[in-house]
Amino acid sequence: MLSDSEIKLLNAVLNELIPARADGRVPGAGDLGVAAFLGRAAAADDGLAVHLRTASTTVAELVKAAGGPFEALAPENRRDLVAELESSAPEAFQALLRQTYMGYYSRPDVRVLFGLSDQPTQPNGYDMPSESPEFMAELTAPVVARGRCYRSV
Amino acid sequence: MKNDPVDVLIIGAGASGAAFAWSILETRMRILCLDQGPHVHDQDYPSRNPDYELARYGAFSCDPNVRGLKQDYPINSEDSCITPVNYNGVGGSTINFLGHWPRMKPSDFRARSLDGVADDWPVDYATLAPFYDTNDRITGVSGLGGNPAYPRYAPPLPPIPIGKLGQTLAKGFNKLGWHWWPSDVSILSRDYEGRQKCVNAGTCDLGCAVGAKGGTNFTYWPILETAGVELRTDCRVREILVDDESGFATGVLYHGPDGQVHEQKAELVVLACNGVGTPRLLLNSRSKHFPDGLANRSGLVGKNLMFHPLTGVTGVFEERMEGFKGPMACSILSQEFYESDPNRGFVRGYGLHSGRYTTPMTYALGGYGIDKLAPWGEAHREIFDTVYPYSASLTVVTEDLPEETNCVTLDPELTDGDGIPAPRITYRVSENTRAMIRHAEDRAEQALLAAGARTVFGKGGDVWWRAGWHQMGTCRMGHDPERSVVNGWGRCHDVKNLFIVDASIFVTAGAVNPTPTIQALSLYIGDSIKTNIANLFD
Repeated sequence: MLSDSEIKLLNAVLNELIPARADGRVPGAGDLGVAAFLGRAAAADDGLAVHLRTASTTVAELVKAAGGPFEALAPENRRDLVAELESSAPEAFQALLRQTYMGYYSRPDVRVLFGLSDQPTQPNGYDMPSESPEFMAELTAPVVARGRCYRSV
Repeated sequence: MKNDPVDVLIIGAGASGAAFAWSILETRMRILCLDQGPHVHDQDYPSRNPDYELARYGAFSCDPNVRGLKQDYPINSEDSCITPVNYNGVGGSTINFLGHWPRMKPSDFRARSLDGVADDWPVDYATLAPFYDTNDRITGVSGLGGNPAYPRYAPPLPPIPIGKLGQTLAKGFNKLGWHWWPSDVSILSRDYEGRQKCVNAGTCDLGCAVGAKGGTNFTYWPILETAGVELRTDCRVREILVDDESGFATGVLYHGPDGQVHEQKAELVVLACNGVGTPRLLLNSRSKHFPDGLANRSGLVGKNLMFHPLTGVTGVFEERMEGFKGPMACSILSQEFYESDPNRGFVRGYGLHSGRYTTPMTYALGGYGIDKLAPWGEAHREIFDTVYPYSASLTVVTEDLPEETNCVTLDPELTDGDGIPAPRITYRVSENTRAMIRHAEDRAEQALLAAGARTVFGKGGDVWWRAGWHQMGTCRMGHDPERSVVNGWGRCHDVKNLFIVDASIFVTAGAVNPTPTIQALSLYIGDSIKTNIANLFD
């Protein structure tokens, strides 16, 4: 379990990993609450829990060394700090990044921002009209005109 | 569990086992099929869940080492740049395969005669053609007849939509004057034989819950079970038994769902466990007659493992490509560089397959079959705002040539949940294939630019890690018992009542998805058994 201050710091880091779009239409990973997904994932996987704990404590140490708090740092310093996390605790960082992507993009409310349905893909799927036979005949005509293109045996 | 002797015992309920069983139905022999996995019910497929993408990295991963389910056996791939992927259950890997359905070509069966490499098959395209047709009809194959890259045939159903992505790329190929054609797919473009047509969900790997994809759980098995073929699930075969006097197979020992080891006797034993599982089982079946593994007097069981090394090149276009819509690996296919050309610096050839694209989470994690995370920070934002929605890719599918050093052996330590030694893969990509990949990446870039891509990326020669869908060649066919494991119709040279019907008997790999050929070959072997029934063991 993370403390409130640790969760606040984690959310800020998550917003660095997947930042919000400038127009505000796509939220950052921290703002969207991906930390809760990370908590659930860590609870189900001891190895992952160790990595996320390592990432969390390493970030806290880096923030302290930088004269934090994290949110008060200039944007470029925040980026540098996350980059330092990546280089100083690479395995823990990769685990954090992977789980962040999984937690963020598996959300129906995020998928819909990229044009996908917010529903499961089945049973409804997507509308996709078939090309007409005439259209396909026209499109394939240059290939047909070249004639046979396999070897005799 | 009753274990009365049966006439035919098939091990594996996937693509090949199901097709073979159908082929011999008319003989009225008592047929039993054992599968190590369960029935996977369509209502349990993750494509019905709101967080469906997560399953791709857990219980529905294509990688058995990631899934780690009870029915899975681990595979040691430490000595390989490609790891085998599969699914274990009724339907086998047709549950999570992508349904791309190109046939092999006449020249694929004559690599030695035409190009001086590998070996010729003991069967040819013309012999298999009617079996391809039968299998297409049972499976429900969609496509466009008249492809000039093949002898004439016509899929039973019209093509699935190629969509904006496929149309865009097709125009690029047309500009270059290169071959392309709408992909043949084992995916229904229309309602067919009581099955529903494709809904363009784009997540074929997560199981097709509507039954549009031609997994044998939707195609062959309903017919087989209605006809009285017995299917026992959650039954893992640990050893094929052999009579010490005659050297014939007498049946198998298997671990049942009750946790006990059972003996099942059979007159005929048929292996349908894929190019990794079949040699594993043979190597695990040692006896006085066969101290190096059953049917292995040639020493070739497990040797000559072939995959299709894959890589991909991506173009970024001005318009949104909506690549998440439609069957995920099937739109159009170019075989411009399929046949050998001595001027290219390699023998044999490759295909450029236009799949669709993928879902956002999989894209962020590196793409399907790849573990390479997308960058974080502003670069991440940039990619998801300006690249992902506008992307279309060409997948390079290369022909692998057989090499004895690429092989399946038994791991000295790793075992499955029943304590049976697990397979170990030793595999490297040949220089011929690497030359092919370099050539293909350049041609893919050319095609994407011709199609209007504003930028192209992804070239680099790396093959995808989880690209081991197609496992071939590890018990090859041939006329010569010194140079092959089975004869021209799948019967083991060394054990005359033991047959192999999966892709382990492939002599060469072609550069196409193997399932239509696996099933055509299974039907052909079944037909040959019927033809030779009077003197089957001579």
